[in-house]
Amino acid sequence: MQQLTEFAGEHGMSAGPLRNLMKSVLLVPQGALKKNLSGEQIKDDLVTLGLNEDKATHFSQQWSEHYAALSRLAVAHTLMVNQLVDMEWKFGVTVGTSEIQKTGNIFLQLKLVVRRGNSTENIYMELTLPQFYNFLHEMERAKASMECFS
Amino acid sequence: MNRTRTCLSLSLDHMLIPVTFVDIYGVNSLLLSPMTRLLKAPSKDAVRDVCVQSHRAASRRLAEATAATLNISTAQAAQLVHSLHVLSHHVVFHSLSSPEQILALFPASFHSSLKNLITKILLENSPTWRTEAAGDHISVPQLKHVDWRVDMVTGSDSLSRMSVPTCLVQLQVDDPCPLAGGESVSTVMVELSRESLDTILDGLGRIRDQLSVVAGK
Repeated sequence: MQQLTEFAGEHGMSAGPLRNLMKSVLLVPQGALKKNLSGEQIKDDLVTLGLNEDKATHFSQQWSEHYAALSRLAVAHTLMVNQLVDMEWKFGVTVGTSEIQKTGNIFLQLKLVVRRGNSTENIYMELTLPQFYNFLHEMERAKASMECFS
Repeated sequence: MNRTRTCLSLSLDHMLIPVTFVDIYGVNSLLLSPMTRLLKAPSKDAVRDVCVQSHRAASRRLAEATAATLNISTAQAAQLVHSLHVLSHHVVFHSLSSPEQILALFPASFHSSLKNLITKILLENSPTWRTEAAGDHISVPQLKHVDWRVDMVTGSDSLSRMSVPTCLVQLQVDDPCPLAGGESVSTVMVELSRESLDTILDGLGRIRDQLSVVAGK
């Protein structure tokens, strides 16, 4: 938005119409990204839409160069349910309780910050040592499974 | 006797004896003398039963059942159950593990074979009771179960063809002290991208390293 306003200022036009114009223009690359079009295909489309040959070639060159980055950005926008935002942990030793005067059990506490819609929710939980090792084991298996796919 | 009576009225009104009573009144001969009523028990197993059930809670229902088994009054049974409760919690609290330590708690004139029997029962059960107490303490919700699955996302509204793996983890969490009206067991579903999973494993690996340092000491 900032860049648009500056651009409008430099070339002596008002920002409002320019913004609307850009919105419509952006529909083309967005659609192209959605359909995973190659550089060639985009050039053909632009020419069909009425853009002249040189400009279309230039655009399709830029497109090919930046396609990977644009795809990555699009993936980041993909819907994620209850996405994990942050994980904090602490572990320690229970020294005593009202039931047992002297004890030495290790505990681990995790705080998971999960995105629910626009806000985040904190989830607290405690694990015993065997549970921790089990959790670690399961996460390593999940990671191994993910690696299979790439 | 007055002191025992106060304990008694409280034990009938409130089903559980708070452990602080052990601190206030201590384990002394006056507390343990009601246990001689166990001499009226029909068998050693009956004694064992009363001991084990008293540890959990010195409740009115238990006092009534014990009164029936031992053929004594409910009031006397309540005193007995209370003594056993306090004694067994004392043994667990101080981690008493040798017979001499427990025998020392009884008054000198206490019936000798009953003393030995009760000591034996307490020693048999205290490891179990200790483990139960360790697992049952106050805490934040505890993780009970972990399930996961890895999905391959092949399309979305921003990219119609893609192949991005994503991991869904389901954590079953058990809250020992749920809020009024709240659920005891709750299930949380969390989605992780590849990077998040790597970061989590990083963190868990660091925890594991620190744990092995602590364990090595």
